[in-house]
Amino acid sequence: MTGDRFEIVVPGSPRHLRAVRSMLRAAAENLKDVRLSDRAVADLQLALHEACINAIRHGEKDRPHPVLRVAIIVEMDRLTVEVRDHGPGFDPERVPVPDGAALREGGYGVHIMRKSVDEVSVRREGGEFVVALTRIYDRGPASAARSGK
Amino acid sequence: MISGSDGPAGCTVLRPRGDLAGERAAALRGEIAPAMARGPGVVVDMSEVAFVDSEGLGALVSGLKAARQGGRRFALCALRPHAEALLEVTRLRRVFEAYPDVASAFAAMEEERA
Repeated sequence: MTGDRFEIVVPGSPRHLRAVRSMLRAAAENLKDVRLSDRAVADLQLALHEACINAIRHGEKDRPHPVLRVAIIVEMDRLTVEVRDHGPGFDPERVPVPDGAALREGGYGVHIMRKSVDEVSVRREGGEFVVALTRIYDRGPASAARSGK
Repeated sequence: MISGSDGPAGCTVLRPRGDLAGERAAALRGEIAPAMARGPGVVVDMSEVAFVDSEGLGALVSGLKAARQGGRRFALCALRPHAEALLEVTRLRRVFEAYPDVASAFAAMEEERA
């Protein structure tokens, strides 16, 4: 994956997820190549939050000092966030779509990720599980906006 | 973070604020059971909730389940667009009673009791 890459490392606790979401929004709003609407950024923030919760609850749960490693990757046509953990991982295609009528109290996270971004991919890399969440830009280039195109 | 007050006919309104996630989702779960025990219904006012995650949804579902098991009413009101969208995405929107505001939620509960 090419493009500018920014990494955030924070303690693996839900207490820090608001800060992680804020960092993503700051990056989306301040990096000149990113062309995402407010709604698209909010969706990506939610998907990132759920990936982090998953990493904390499953991937890092047995580690004495759980850590969240988040990368923001800016490319010409898309923004991707990656979350790494040390757990067994999951296959997003095999997680069932929730049935609202079943009134389950959990199991919504991966489905929320899938519905909030354009692409969810997973891989193993260097002994870590990586989930990558991609949102394609939904706004035109700044130059086109300025010229009224 | 979560305030509660009594409404008509012994119903209770719970008002979570900020993020309904993590510890705050757990706190709401803890508030629902005693509120349910106090009267015939609980309304969760979502007007001050800026963000909901899967754990927040879980807390709301736990309230609905408790209400159904106990023969009580459980309703949401003043859902903001983010929460509304999340309920739609997870196919939970149709299982919750939802109203524009606290008054209309209580009115619906009163109407059924009348």
